[in-house]
Amino acid sequence: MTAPLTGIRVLELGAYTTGPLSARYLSNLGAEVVKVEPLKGESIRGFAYKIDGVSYIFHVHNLNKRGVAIDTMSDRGKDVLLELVRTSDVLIENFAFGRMKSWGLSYEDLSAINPSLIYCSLSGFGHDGPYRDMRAFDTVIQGMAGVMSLTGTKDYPPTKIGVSSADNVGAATGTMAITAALHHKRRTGRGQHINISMHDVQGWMSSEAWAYLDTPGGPQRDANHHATLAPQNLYETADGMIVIEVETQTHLNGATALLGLPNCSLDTAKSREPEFDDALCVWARGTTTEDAITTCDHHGVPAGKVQSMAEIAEAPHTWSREMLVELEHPTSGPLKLLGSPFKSSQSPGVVARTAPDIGQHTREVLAELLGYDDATLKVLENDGVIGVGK
Amino acid sequence: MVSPSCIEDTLIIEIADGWSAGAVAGRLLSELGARVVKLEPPDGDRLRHIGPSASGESSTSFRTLNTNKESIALDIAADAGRRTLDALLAKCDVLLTDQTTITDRVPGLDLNALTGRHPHLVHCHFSPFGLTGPLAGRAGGDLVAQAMGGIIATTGHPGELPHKAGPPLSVHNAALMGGTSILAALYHRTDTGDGALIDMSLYDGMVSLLYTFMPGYFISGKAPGPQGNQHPMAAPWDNYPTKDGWVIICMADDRQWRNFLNLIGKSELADDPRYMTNDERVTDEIRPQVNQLVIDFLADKTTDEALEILTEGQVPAGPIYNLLELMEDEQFQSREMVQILLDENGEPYRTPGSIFKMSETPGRIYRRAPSLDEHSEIAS
Repeated sequence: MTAPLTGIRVLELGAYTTGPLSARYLSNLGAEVVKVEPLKGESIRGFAYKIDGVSYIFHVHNLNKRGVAIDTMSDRGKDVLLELVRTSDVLIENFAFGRMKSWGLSYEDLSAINPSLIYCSLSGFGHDGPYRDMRAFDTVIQGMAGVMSLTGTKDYPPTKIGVSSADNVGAATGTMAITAALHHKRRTGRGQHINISMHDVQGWMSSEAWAYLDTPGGPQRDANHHATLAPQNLYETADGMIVIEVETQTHLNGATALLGLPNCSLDTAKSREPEFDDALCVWARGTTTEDAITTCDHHGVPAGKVQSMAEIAEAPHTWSREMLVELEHPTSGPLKLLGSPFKSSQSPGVVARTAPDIGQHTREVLAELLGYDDATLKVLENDGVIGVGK
Repeated sequence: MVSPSCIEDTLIIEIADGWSAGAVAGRLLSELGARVVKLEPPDGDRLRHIGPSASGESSTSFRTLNTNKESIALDIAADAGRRTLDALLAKCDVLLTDQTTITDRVPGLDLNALTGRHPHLVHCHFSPFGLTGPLAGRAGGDLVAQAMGGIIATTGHPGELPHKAGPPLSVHNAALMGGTSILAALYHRTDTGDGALIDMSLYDGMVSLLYTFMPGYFISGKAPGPQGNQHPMAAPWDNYPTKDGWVIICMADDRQWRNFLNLIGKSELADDPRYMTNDERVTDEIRPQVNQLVIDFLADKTTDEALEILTEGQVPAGPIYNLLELMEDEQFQSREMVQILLDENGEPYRTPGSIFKMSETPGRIYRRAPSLDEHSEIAS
């Protein structure tokens, strides 16, 4: 089996999450990723929860990559970077708008030396429009895109999604756009600039609720209820919490049979939501989570346990799907990291190596891709243009 | 001149009812140039029949989601319908299926038997837990995937019952990952001629988002509960009260913290070892103290005043908008993220613009959502 993007070369000039994550997803599909860091390493290495001085999250985001350290602020360092650009199919960057241009590394600058380059910019608001200069992080984006207004209960202020939704879904959007652009590049030989806005993407994610824009008050947050379907909610059992999710008439028939309530059509079930909730609350309290799910399964009603991070990390299903994997880091020992969500008969997804130390692969990459000899590398190292790791 | 598309001459058959990952993936691929034919049951996709509707026919949600697509009504539980489907599969490049839809329309259908005769096909099957593993085949949609995948346990306020992400996060996330996988498989197929079976699980997609909590859990054994609006690895980070509402502030690094200290006229604290680095500020002991500094600073300011000062001072901050405000937001409009189309009765409806902003092959919105079986000629 060959991973589908084998042979595609990706240059990552990222920091924190979106750029590194998008590049990691491409590596899961077989692309070869070279991560370019400044000589002191990228910022997320300093986040909390460290192993041997490096944040755990850096290891999670950057597995599979080869790491190159270059002082791209120096003229000679920039020249090295430009040579790498010439040999790459894809460049991913997630700096604030304007930074790449200020360094002479805008799409216009780089497409001039490599017209087939796919250049993906991931930013909070995109590279155009009135907010393009605004600094933004995940929670700011979730707030401004209406996602928080739909999340939570009416008794509390709007609430963010616990995970970094804007970062991850934004990164996944960039990955899909890059993969699409590869088709165009193969057909025409031309690259292009991909201009992803995390704000666009979170706003897009809210579009199921747009149907309610013309109703009084507009779309509302309502905890675990669905705007049009019922019963859907979270219920406390004797020993935990479950959700029940009715989406089809068959599910609804199963739910009413389970509760001994009269049946109705799916499009009218929402009007009976309080009745369903009361009955399910009473039923759930009298049973364990495991029995509740077995009973729901028996009646063809979708149900799931509200699992904690600990339960997911222990769940045989997580490991069977290889969504958590354990890789041996050369100096920090075994690390539990994320596997590939891209599973197909062509490839189970690539999870090959742990994240690089700063400059760990500088020599290897510059020799292999640019043909630098030992003497050249030594001069660049001694002059502080490149970092070559320990 | 109309821009070229990324994936021209690509025919996709979609069997994915409701607001499902398969249906969202079909929409995304249509924006990139694929021709997407939605294969509906004889009485229509169930999404047509629930929620508000401008003209009393198909729901607004159906139209919002299925813009750009064509529609055939076909009873794939019947032999004649199955034969038509087989003929369509011989002609198409990609098949999108959704577990809930298949189970509902043709219980017990053998997917391999369906696709086995068409080795060129890139078939992406979306399911809550995947085709393998101990939970394979279990029923569920967005809510079940958010529950099992750790989203619900970490969303909400400490000490309260947790709740889901309001938008269908697991569905949109899986649609993007599945869409990516499909495009990669098609790319590979150009070289090899071989199709693929893609096994896209909503649960796998959700686990992929847990990176925020893995460091704390695997290093200190802390299984996080509801987060409120804080960040487990950075502080100060929360929504904070102003005189007239809320403002979100996110300081991810020490530089932004120093920028903030300059704003409040306490730059001497930048060298105070108690608060100097993010590692200290995220601790249970120090986090409330740095939050209090932010709360005090905002006490006499409106949201607008606070945002102006924070933005000027290079501290990441933003307001909280509802969807009505989002529709009017000048950035969202400038990026053409709200598109108004007319349905088959001439009634306007909204649909999002394409999230794929690309200089050569921008994602495009080009066709109103179909009425049921509007394109039946495709099947004849």
